[in-house]
Amino acid sequence: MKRINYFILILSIGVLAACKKETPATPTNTGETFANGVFIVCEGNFSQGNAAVSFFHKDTKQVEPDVFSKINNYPLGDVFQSMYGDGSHYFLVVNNSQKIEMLDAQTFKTQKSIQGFNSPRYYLPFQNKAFVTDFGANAIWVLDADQNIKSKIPVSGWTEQMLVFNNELFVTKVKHGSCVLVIDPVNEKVIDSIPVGEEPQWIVKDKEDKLWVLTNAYIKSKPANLQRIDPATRKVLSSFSFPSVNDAPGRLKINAGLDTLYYLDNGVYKMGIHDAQLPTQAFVASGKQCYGLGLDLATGTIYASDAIGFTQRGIVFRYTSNGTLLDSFRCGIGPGDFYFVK
Amino acid sequence: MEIINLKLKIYSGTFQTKYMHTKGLNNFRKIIVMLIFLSGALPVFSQMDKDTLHLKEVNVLQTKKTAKNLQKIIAFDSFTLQQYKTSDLASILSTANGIFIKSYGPGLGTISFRGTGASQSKIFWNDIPVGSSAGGVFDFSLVPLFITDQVKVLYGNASLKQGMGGLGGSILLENNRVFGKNNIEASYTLGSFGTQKGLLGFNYGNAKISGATKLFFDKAENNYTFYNLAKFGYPLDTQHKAGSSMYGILQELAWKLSDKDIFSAGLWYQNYARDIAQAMTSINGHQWKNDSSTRIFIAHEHRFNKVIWTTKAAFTDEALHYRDYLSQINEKSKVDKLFLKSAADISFDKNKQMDMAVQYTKDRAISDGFTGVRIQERASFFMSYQQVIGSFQYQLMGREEIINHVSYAPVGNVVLLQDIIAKQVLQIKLGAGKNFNFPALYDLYWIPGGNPDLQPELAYSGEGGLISALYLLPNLNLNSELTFYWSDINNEIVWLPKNHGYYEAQNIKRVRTEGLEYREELKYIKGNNYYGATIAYSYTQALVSSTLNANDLSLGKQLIYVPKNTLYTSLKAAYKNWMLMGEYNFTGMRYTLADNTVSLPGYGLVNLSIYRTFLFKNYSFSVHGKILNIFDVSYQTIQWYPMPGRYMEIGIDFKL
Repeated sequence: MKRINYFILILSIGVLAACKKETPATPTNTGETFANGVFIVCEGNFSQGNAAVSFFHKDTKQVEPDVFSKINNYPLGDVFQSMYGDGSHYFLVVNNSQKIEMLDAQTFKTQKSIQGFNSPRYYLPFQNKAFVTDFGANAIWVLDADQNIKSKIPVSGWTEQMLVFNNELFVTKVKHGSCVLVIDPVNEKVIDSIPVGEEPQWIVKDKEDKLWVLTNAYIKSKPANLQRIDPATRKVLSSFSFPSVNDAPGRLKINAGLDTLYYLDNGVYKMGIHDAQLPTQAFVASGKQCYGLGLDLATGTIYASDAIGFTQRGIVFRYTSNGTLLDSFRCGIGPGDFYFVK
Repeated sequence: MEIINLKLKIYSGTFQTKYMHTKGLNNFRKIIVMLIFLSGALPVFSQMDKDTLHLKEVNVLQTKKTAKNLQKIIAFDSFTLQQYKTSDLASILSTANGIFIKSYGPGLGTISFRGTGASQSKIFWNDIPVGSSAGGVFDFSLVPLFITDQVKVLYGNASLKQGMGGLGGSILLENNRVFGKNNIEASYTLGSFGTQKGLLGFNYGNAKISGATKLFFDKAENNYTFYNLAKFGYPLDTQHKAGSSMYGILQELAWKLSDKDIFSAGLWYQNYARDIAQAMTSINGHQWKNDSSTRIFIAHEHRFNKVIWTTKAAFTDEALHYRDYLSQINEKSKVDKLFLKSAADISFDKNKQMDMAVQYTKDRAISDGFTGVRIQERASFFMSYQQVIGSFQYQLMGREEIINHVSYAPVGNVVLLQDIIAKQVLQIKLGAGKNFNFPALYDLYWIPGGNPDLQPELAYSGEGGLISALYLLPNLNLNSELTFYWSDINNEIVWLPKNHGYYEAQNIKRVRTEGLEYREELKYIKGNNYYGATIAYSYTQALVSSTLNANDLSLGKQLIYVPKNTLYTSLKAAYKNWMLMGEYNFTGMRYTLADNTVSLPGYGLVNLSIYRTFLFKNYSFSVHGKILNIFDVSYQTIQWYPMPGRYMEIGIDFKL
């Protein structure tokens, strides 16, 4: 038996030195505030817990790659889908971590981690409640004033972006009957639906109170569509079909004047709301694989990102409103969207 | 006692050979040879310091190099297989040079072999390719070691005899055919985290007919605790929804019609259902996976003159069912494979050997991931010739493959072996070859993102090294091997995001791997007692050598989840009716981002297993115990996926 003890002892020698448990860092209170800058929604990889909120200071052009974990001392999770701010709080929607992090807008500290979702996509408040779309819940979640789940509106399939107009909630519904759902947010009921092209995901409102919906029928190998809808009559006013199934438009945005649309499709395209046809040339970054798009409504600056395979830090390119490249910077993994601090 | 005797039989066989070959060696030569190998180790350890030195894992390895095959092949010996009998294939492979198991927790482990990707290593069961050709990636935790009699690690192009695609290497599982053996073996094991394992085996027959039946089940709750680094304050959490349940059967039959003709057949069925362990960052994720596979074969072996002619037909069915309960994903896939092979091994004389084979496979795949039925047909011709010329040996291998009626340029491998000091005391080996890996069906046809225009991944590779077998003292011998290798992989398939957020498979990357594998094995055998020690170190450099995106910072960087340094050491002892094995397995730091800005720290694990056999007149009874991760090290092999801490098991074995 002594031999056995000695045997174990020999093995142990190297191990004790080798197996130090990492000591977690203590929570950080940076005391910093976030103004005159832009948060970059860095999605991270599915199931790899490496989403991040990067912050770009427009004055100094400095980038903080991961302000959430720096301040809160735990990772955001994955996949960071979208961000919403109401002036006093930020809401970070993290779909594969099945949560929404509610943060203090001044300190960026977590106030609450809202849980109970399947795969949340977007958050939008209305009066004393908020709505959350979901990839797999077959429902739109309704939160109460305390940000707890109070109910859900049954829908079939994946719901995506939302927009409130004239006390009605318009929601893009991607699968199981692609359409724009019209919801009564007070009574929390679906009251209508507007058929559009396959797989609508993005929705914006123009200066004439018309809605623009961008569809992406990539899964079904059908051409994508950009459609203008009258929310009052629920009619499609105009429809622009992309020429090829290989066109993969996305990230529909609208400028501060609400008269010019921007979207990605191997470059950044822009189109006036009264243009008779889709643009044939990219406005900036022609031919580039862009993943995220942001418009700084205060300056007109365009932010376009390259996720570079989601296996490393992404890069963001900034362009002036007339398309001149300003600069670029690195951020977290998978920069997909931008939130501009007002 | 039977177990120990079996082990000693194997070792004493090699021992006698080594002794006969080397007893005339003088001490000066011994010292020179040892210095050569130690000098090879020095740069290894200096490099390890740079990457935070720790220790890697150990294993018992037995290298078989005969005139028939000069490829680098390592076979686990019976001692190690016995100690790992209740484990899965991934566990034992993690002890081999050059292999890193990427584990997401219990029940899901893919392989990185010599720095290559998971789809660039293949697995064969009695020469039959197993695993689904749909995804192209095999989960090595699916295979219970109980079902196999031999596990061989085929390095580099060594698996060209079985098939293409093992750019890093391949794994070969073999079942031995023994006539006249009649016994019963039963084992029951209880372990931590709600683990239960049961094994039941029968061997039966006579000199003409043999049969073997193996039944197994393995259940685990996997409800281990871990520090949740993804939560504020790093609380102690419990893994939930990670339970697994596996059961299956292996059935073999053989009929020796005459001394020249043997018919055989085999069946391997198993079902493995498990909840997939979640990342720390998932609050209430719930994914479930079920792998069900049926593999059957019939074979005929005919010997005449100097030829062994083998004909084999097999049918495999691999079904996968995956569910993500939160995302409402419910997908199934099913791949049926027909396999036909006819091979001739020709021994012209003791110095000349030739192997030839023709092979046909037809895969028929149905999946929710793509439309319709996808068919992949492969026809191939293989030839190998090896010759011994005095102190020099060489082997030429070539393989031509036609896939879906398209003929691809032949691939092959050349190995040269020269004695530096006679009688295998010191040999030098050089090899070079070409191989390719055809895209998996999902790469080609998955909706969305599959790309039917993908080209095969093409690899050029080479390796060289020194091999030594020394008899140092009576009953004591030392086997050493030092191997350097490189490979250049073109057209590597990568899934990249498109504008719309979906990924698409593309041939865009070029990867260059280089490495070193160093192994020493010391054995002392006297009477019924055996003592052994092994050290196996691997250095793996896998760098991206070409990218298409100017913004890509991965150029010249180490591939993610490929540790540069791994080390395995083991001590083994068999004394009277005791068997004991201690292991230390170190895995070095791994990058988790392609620009090498984020990494996971290295970790070292200590394992101990013990076996005590009680002999009775007609049967034996054994008690075995095992402790894995004795020091309860908290570690992750994949970021945010907690691995189990200390695991203990105890079991009983009965043999009649």
